[in-house]
Amino acid sequence: MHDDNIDSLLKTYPAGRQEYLIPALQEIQHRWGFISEEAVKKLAEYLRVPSSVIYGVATFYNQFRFVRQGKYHFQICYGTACYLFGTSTLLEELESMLGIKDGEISDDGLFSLEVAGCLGGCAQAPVVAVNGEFYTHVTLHQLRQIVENIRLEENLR
Amino acid sequence: MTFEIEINNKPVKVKRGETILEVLNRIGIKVPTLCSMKDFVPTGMCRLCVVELEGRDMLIPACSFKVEEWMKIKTHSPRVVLARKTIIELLLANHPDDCLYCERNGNCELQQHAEDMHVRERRITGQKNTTFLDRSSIALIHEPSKCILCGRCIRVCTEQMGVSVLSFIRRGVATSVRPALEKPINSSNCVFCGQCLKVCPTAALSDRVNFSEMQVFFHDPHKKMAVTYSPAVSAIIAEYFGFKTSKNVNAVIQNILRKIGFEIVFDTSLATDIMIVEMCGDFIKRLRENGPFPMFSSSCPAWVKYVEQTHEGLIKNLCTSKSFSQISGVVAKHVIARQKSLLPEDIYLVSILPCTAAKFEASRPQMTLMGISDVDSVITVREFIRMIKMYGIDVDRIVAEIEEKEVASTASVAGKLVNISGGTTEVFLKALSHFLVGKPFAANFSVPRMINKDYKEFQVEIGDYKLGIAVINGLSNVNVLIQQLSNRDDVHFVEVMACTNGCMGGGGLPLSWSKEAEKRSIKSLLEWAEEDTVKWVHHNTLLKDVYDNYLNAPMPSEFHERLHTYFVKREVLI
Repeated sequence: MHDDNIDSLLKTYPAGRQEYLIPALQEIQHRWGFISEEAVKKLAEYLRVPSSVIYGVATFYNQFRFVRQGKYHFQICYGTACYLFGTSTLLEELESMLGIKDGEISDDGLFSLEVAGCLGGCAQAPVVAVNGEFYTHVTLHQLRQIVENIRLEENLR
Repeated sequence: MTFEIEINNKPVKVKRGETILEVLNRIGIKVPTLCSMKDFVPTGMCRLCVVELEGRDMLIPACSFKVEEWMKIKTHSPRVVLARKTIIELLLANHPDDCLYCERNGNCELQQHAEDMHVRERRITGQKNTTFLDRSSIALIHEPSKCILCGRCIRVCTEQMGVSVLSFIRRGVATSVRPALEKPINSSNCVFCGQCLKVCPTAALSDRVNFSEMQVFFHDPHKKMAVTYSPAVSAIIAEYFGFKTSKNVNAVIQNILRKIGFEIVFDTSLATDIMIVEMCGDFIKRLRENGPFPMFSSSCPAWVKYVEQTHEGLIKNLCTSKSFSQISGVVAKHVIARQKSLLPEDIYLVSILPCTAAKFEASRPQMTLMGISDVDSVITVREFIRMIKMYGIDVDRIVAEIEEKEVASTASVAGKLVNISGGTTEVFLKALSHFLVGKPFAANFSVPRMINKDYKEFQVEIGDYKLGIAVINGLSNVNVLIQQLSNRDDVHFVEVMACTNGCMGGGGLPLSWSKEAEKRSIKSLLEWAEEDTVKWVHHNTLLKDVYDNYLNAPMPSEFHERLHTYFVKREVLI
């Protein structure tokens, strides 16, 4: 982890002020894609918030991750509309195809999986996003193809 | 200011500022609670204490509402009773049906409420909790599947101890109570004080029970079973079983332990005397070498771990003497063993303490030298009580006469006093005065007993030395002093006890231990201390013999290693 960078990022917040916890977490997440153990430690020291509380706050929200993202980051929408359109079946399939669960990264670092609260595409449910690229009205068949295409591409390299 | 409100159609006098729950408890109406804790701000999380308030549609939690003039309250109307029963049924819906095999069977608040409300069918069924069981730590076991999310442990850990190991994580149905980054307890910043498991209503937090592993050694022909217990244990057992104070409790405890099968039985008092002497030695060395000051006491293992992980810079300030529990191990394996012509490895030593952190302390690598641990197994008073029941011992019929006395049982009053906050300071200063100037204290010295006080600082004069002394009762009170330390040089000795009131408020006490029981057991311990004839550590006639014949000889360098330890920085998330 880039320690210097975390330190300089933290310096843009006043020390010992716990109300800056969420903005700081958001910035760390935005910059590095996840919140590392090192980041939690430094954040705790700097804002003087126990790391257990930081973890408690961060896990309350869906937006924070504690594992770095894979080369291909899958977000699967678990909002109400998507859920009604069978996103749980998609998730099951995706989990077995990638061999990882929510919040995990595959051993080769290629795939990571995140179950999202709502991606905001309810009219196009179910929605899956890969590295921010959205796939709508996703079927099982389509999902398999997305994964296969990525694997194919990676094998060619 | 007092006024009247109506409770169950009867007028009741109340004081302004009281909560409804306090009033109900005072007038003898029992309302079930799961999250409420005495001396803590109410959170209203469990909703079990709901009552019906005339003029309100919703039931209100009695713990979080203060009384007001207009209130008309019903505490057991059919609506209220149904609501409470439903809450319990919902809590049971995802609770593991594990009661018969549970550590808290028969001693569980959830079970008790279910019984009181006559829950007799599984009306609401849900998916059972199956979160993983954290058995990583040598002292505490965390089983989140049994957690009912009352939040007591979090509040005790944060507000009372100031450690903040646990927090609510995630939300909704996925909520659980875990350390930061869901680390296992043994690699978290837990200091193993055990206060959380004392307030946990279920077995979500419990201590690691050591006696099944210990029982194996009762059958080992190569091992002599030895046990040491602190005088605090005697006071707590006497209170728990309601012994008459006239009975010689020490003799009763010794006979119980012999009946259980221990061959060598002695209390920690001699070890305490040795600890005090070693503390004086360390302190005098610091006086000669100009520091580092203040010297912090290190007999409380929870405090020691707290320093190691939170205040790396203060590690050098910790007194290097081992705690009395660990020194008991040295006494057993190097003094008693030699007296009985045994080898250190022939003895299996069990230490009974009102402490869960001591389990962790005994497992520190520093406490094992060439494969021989000072203490082989630490059991809490809770486990001891369980053993008494398991071995079918009728405590009322035990004779209070010691059949066989260990030589190591000559000791001063220190063994008793160090279990209470302030006691270590008292005996330490008295002994220090003897070693420094060879005479007792000036008469104006006040006994710094600290029951229910958080923090005390005072000055003493010993010879030419003006010493600043601080006594800290409860871990959360230490940070104020530590912050001042960078620009203060008038503090020379600091005693810290992590649990409030010291060992007498420790994490190894019986689970239903009330504040009153705690007070009574402290009182009897202090009374025994008054009766003690040897008031000064250096008046213990055995000490010189022990030092001359056992600890110093034949290799004095080895002796320092046995009685002293070292501390290491711990990398954990704070």
